[in-house]
Amino acid sequence: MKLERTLALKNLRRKPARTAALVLLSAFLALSVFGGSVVVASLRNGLKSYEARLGADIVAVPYQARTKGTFESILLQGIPGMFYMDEQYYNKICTIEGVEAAAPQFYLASTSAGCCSVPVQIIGFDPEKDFTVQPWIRESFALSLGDGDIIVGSELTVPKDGILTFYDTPCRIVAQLGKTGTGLDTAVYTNMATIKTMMRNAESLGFHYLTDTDPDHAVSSVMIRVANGYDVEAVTGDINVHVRHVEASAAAAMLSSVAGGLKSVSGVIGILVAAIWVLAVVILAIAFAMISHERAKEFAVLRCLGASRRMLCRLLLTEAAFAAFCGAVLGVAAGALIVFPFGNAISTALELPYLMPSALPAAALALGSLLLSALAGALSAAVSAWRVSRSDAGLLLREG
Amino acid sequence: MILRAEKISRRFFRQRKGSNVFYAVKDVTLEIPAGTLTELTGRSGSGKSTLLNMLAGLLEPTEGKVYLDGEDLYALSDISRSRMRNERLGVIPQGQTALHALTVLENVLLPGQMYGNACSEERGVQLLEQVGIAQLQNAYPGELSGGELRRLAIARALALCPGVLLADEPTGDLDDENTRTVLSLLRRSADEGLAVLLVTHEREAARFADRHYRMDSGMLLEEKEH
Amino acid sequence: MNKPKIKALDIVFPVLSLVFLVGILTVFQPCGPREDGSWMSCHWAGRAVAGAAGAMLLLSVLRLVVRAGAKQGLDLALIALAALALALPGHLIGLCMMHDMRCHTLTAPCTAVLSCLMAAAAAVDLLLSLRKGK
Repeated sequence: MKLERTLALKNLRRKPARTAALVLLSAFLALSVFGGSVVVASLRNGLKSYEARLGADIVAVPYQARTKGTFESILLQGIPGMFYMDEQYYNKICTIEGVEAAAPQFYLASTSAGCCSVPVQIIGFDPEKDFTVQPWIRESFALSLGDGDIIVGSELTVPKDGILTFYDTPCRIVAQLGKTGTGLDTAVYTNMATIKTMMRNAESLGFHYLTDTDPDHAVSSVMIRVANGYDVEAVTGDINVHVRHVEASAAAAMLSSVAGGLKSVSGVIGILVAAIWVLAVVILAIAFAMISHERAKEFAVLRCLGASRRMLCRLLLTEAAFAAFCGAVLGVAAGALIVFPFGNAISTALELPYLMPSALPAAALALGSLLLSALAGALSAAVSAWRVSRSDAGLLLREG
Repeated sequence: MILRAEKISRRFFRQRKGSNVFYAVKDVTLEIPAGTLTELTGRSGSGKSTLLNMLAGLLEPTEGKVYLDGEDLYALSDISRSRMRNERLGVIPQGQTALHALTVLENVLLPGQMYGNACSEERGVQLLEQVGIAQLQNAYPGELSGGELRRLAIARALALCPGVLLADEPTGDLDDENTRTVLSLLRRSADEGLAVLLVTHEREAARFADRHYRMDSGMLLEEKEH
Repeated sequence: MNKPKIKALDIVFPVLSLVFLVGILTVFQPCGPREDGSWMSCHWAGRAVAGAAGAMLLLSVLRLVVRAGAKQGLDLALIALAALALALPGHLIGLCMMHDMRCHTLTAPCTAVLSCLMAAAAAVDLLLSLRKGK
């Protein structure tokens, strides 16, 4: 085995151009397999966390917010939105049969000049009634939010002094949330009292977001939990029929549109990666066939010197495995240099929840990609190795 | 050590009008005793190389048997036969047969690395000195002339002290001086007790050989002393 | 052989640093100015990275004409500069607050990738030359 190894290494070293071509091809294969699998895994994680963070069975928003897709933009892309309805609609929703809990939320977007060149979504919730935001907040902040306290999403940089000012309202950052891969990562959470203070300060600064409703009696959305034994679809229908100007959607339906997007992106990536894998195996197989044909005489000489058929087989496979493995390591490294630093860019481009795998699953994906690429190398060399070991050295040497 | 072929034939199939079977070698019985240089001549296509490859355990005869010290070569498995070739047969194949990824010295040491009965580096250098190319030990085969490559092949075939040396046209396309060097090297091996078979076109070879055979259309004919 | 021989790896350095310098000024430059015309801190991070890239370009060109020992020194300097460039956006100089901004999605990762490649190339060259020197 030692002989095959040294001989294989020397053969690779003495033919740098050929070796480089094999390594590059295998690197490209590993890169696509690894990159593709990380993106698909991130999308799957994203969908799961989106489902977890939505946390409600039904979401009700003012009619205009639903039709313009504003609400989904907040959730998926973190594009701030503002839409309001009178509190009376919230009260009406609470009376619908099957509604077990209903939590109002109030949305505000910061002015762009405030801290960044783009506005930040501020979400106010009622600590008494809320059941969607607080379980999540409790993962990183155990106390209850006081007035003037805010909690920021994972994708916001916390300033050194821990203070963010929105509409002349200085707020103390008390915690930062875990990453969800959704638009909520760039949002700021606070209680109703604080957000209403901001709203009033905005009015006095000349921003009139609400023209026909009193800010103190307005809500932006209502998160609804359906009581046991009631059909979510039916309750959604009831709300849409009985509460005018409000559009209720079942969370499952919202999720399924995201899941559809995920499915098509994953499908495209899957087909692409499979095609590249097959193509690489074919190209590598042709390359190895050409190489072994060109080296037929060399193999015959080795036979003369006493190499068994099995030795020749192992020699060719070792060479292929070395080249494929080096290429795969390079490819995975290059893939890591693309998918991890550019994760945010990919997520922005896909407009889907995107949550990158943590270190351990990522390492598993890297290992899997390494194996799959090395397997492709071995598989493509196997046919040639078999043919070389079957060929008759005596006949080859006679020819020339 | 004795290499003996008993009524061996090699039949090939080919797509031709009439008979589609032809014999490259037919019913050859040959013994190569230790300490002699046996010369085998014949036109190209007469079956010389086929016979040599069958004797070397590289090509299975369609009929007949080959014995090395009484052991039937083709009754062995490929692995044992390969090992036997490695340890007891020195084969010098036709043409230029150096491995280009290895240096001259590494080429000579290669047979010794296959089954762990290593040929020491000193012996490798010594062999290269014997064939007169010791100064090239760290060069790569691409830098060697045709004559030097043949001498390398002889040194390599002798690396594991085989009992039998099978040389297929070792002087083909060499100039007179190199031809003489190579032939005297083979002669010296025979004098040292090896059984040597020399397949050649070279007229000059007759002077070095003890016994003379000629192949004609697959048949082996013994020739009297010139 | 007194004249230094230029190998393929030697060409990598000026090419990489040129891509770095041009890229940070154009393709992956940080976020633009605010609506009121003022610049955010990521702009200055970008300027600092451009400075580091410029210094790398200078050293890379210098590498082509000096002898072997000096090359090793320049390799070390390039590794240090690459580490500086890597640390500049986000660590030494802050970027925008929201992580989906251009400076986070494009400038920082491109800087990270190019710095890593630069440091890796210099480390490989250093190791090769040290091994050859033995």
